[in-house]
Amino acid sequence: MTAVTSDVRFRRIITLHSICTSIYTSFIIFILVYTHKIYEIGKRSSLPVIGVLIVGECLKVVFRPFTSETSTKEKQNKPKKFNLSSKLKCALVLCTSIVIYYCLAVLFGAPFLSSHEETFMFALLLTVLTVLPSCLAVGADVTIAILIDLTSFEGDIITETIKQNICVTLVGAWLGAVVIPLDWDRPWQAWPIPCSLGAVIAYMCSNLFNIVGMSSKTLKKKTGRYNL
Amino acid sequence: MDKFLINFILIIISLILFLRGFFPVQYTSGNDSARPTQLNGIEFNLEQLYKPEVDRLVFIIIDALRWDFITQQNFPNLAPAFHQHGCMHKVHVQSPTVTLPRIKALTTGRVPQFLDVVLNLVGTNKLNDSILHQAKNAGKKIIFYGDDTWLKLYPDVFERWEGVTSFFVNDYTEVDNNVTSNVLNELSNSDWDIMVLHYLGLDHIGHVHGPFSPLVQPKLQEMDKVFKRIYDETKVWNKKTLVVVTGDHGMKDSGGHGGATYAETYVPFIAVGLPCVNGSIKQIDIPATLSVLLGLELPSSSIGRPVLNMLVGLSQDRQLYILNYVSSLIKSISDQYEEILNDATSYHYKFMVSNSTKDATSAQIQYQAYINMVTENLLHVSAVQDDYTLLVSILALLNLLCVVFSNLCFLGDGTTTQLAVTLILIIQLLPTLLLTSVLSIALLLYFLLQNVVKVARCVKPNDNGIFIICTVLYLSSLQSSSFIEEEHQTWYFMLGTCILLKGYKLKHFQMLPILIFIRFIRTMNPSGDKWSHLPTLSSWFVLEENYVFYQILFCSSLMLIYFCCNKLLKRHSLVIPLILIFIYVFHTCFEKSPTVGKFIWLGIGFNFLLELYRFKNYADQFVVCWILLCSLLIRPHNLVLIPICLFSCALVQNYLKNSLHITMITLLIGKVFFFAQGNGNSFASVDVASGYVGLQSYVPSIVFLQIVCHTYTFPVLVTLFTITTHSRLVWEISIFFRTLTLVTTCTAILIHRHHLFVWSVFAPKLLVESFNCIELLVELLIFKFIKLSKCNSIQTDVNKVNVY
Repeated sequence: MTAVTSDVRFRRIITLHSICTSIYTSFIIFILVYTHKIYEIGKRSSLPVIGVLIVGECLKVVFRPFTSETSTKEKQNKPKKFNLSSKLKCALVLCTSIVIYYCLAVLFGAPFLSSHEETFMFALLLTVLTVLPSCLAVGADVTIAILIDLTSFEGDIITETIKQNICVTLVGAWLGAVVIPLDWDRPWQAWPIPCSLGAVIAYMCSNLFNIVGMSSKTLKKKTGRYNL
Repeated sequence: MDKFLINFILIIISLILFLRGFFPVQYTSGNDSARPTQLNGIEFNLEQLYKPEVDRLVFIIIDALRWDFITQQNFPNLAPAFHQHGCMHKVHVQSPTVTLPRIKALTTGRVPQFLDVVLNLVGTNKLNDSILHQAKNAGKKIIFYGDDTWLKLYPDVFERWEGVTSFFVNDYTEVDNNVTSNVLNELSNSDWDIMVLHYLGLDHIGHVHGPFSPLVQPKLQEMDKVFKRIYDETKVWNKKTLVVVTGDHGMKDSGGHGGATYAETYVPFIAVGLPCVNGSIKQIDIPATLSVLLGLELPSSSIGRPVLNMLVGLSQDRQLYILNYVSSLIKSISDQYEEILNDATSYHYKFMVSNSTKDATSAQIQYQAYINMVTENLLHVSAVQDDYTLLVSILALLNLLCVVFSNLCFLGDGTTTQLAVTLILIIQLLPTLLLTSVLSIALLLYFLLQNVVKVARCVKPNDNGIFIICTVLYLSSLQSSSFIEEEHQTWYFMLGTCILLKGYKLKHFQMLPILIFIRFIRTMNPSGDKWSHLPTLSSWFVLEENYVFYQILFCSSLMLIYFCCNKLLKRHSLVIPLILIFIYVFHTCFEKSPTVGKFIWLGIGFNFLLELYRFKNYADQFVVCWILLCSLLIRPHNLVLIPICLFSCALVQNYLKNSLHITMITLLIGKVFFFAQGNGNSFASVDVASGYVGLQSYVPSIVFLQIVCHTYTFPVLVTLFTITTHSRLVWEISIFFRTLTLVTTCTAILIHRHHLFVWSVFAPKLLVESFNCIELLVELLIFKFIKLSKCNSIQTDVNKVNVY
């Protein structure tokens, strides 16, 4: 019985978070396009954007409403959150993920001897969009478990959602690279703008998809689709 | 096995049908090049209006003279000369930028057929309508020294001549000295009117060492000296002499030519000895201009414009007459924009009556507008295709594709479809009526529908998702010209994705080195267009100051190859290291001397026979022989690709279980290395220099074979490597994907046949795909043959045993 209610609660939380996320990510994209800062998405000067994303993720963790129904699980989780070692672990996971994303970007063709700043910003953005939410929501250990086994990891509904977000975001970044070889010579074709934008847009789309999926309540095994 | 061979042959036949329909064979030629004698009843004074401006012409063609080669440093005599007594034009050259079509354009003034690029290698047949013929008819004496392609095109035009062979690229001094010594003799003769010189040395340097080689500048200065000798002599003659220096095509930064990039399509045109103004022209304008300057009749099918910047010394009525002449010629070829021409002639008439400058200017503007517009149009619509043939062949290909696919999924053999397609192809190859075409289209559509339904019914969801996504992405990328130019990027990206996902999913992180390999090899050679200006590892290794690293790379790759061969044969061989050492010596000590090359060839042949004699593990021995052969042909800095390729394939075979996935990924690897080696969808990427190993002169068949072996090193290597374990799958999957790509390319080219880039991007891509298919057919046939002979010999063995 409690499982069902907690499930409902999680769904509500996810819906709320997804609504917030899609609103602020679309807002970020809108502002970037409107102020022509979109060409700087690979530069140091776009750190505020990443800052906004980080703050958004943190707020999502702090702000967890609908606590009044059941809080058994919450109590179990609480002491863990203020554990110093787990925080260190989180930081370690985040740093590693930046390094791994950086390496992957280079392996997929990002410049090796130049554009370090751009590649680093791209790796940072991907980390913030994929690993950070997971670290904040479920902790470092589960994050590692998820990342090692994206395709077949089974968990509660929050983990499933996180997993789906990660997959969709990565696919978005992957698809973004498609426009780079076109000979249109537009400024937005420069590395890593299409990939970063692809990731952000895919993250937004994934959240929108969550809203629809959660509210229709018939979401059972949708995440299995991304078994690539 | 036999069935899919037949199927593939049918595919090739449909492809030939498509090619025949797509590439136009016949030209609409102009009828009459006679000069107009009157305009609306007023007679022209021909003697006054159309007379030669120059008496003698020296036409120097420097093969592969890029636009940016003309500098004060490279041409210390030519550069000041044209500043003072002449001009320089920037010439736009149409693709394909290969010598034979360019010579045709330079002499006939029309855009040659696209297929001339193939004929360039095969052979040539003579022309009979060009500026040279017009000159000969007018009684001028022409002498020629240089590339013997001219002699094949114009066998009975020249008074005196000597040809040098254009295809032996390793020689870049002798070839030019021959020409120059002849020139020096001729300068004292006074009987000739036109001298044509075609210097090949620069092109050869480009093919072997690239445009930034230290050999280039001395070569250009040598050309400059030749010019100086001629130019000094012209001052002594008592004749008005025009000296023209131009290139037939440019040269890519990587040294080849044939494509449509800036460096290949812009060449200088320098005229000395005539008052003229700098400007920019098209290559087909040159014969018309020169004809006018020499007072000759224009080549009858020329669609070039006379360059008015070259005719600034002429009075207005003469310029108008020339424009009128060219317009009347163009009008006989195309009947577009006649109203503008009527306008122009009416102004011209007014001018002839009233002699007012205003009318003359208007007439001139209208004439130029007319000529420009029609020429532009003729350039783009130079081909008339038969849509029905194209459609029939695409449908036939689609049907055959379905058959291949149903074979792949064990769905039956589709004999009826094959029969129907054969019948239709035979009908189509004969001269056809509209009715039969429509009927065959209907029939093919019916079969296609049936096949598609059959195939669709049994497609089940499976774990090949990533391959399907990649295939779909790749096929849709073939619709875009920029993705075709950058096709190597698509392959690198797709192989990376497949390896990463498969490795991640199966937790075989040992496969990750392949990713690093891909990243490494994609920096080796320049490929494509967009990033071709970036420095690459190969150009870094070739630099003089990195000679030590170059040697280290070379030696270690040879050692790695030896290691691979041992692994494959599972024993130590004595002949292999000897051959490898000789390859090293061949490249470093003997400067690719033909004798050593022949010797290594003999060694490889000997090794092959030895392995055949031992007769243990068939395919692996073929792999080893192929490796040795390619190590000889391939450029030393690319040699490291061979062990990397083998290692990647071995990794994939070790860690993947599903045989379909193994075959797909190894074939992908073959494709990736094909591009990493420097090949691409442009003719410029074919490494011509590789064809001359062990040759002292141009032997077409051997050169062609060596070039093909060099180009298809990696696809063949991968196929041979996989064939031991997955024989059936390898062939079926390669045939399936080749056909799939072929159908998509054909469809794309049909859709885009009026696209701006159809001749520069899509048509080369189609030819490359056709070559790929034919190469696969040859591979398949050889495999069949070997298998047959193997069966036979086993049978004879069995027979012998029985006899005993």
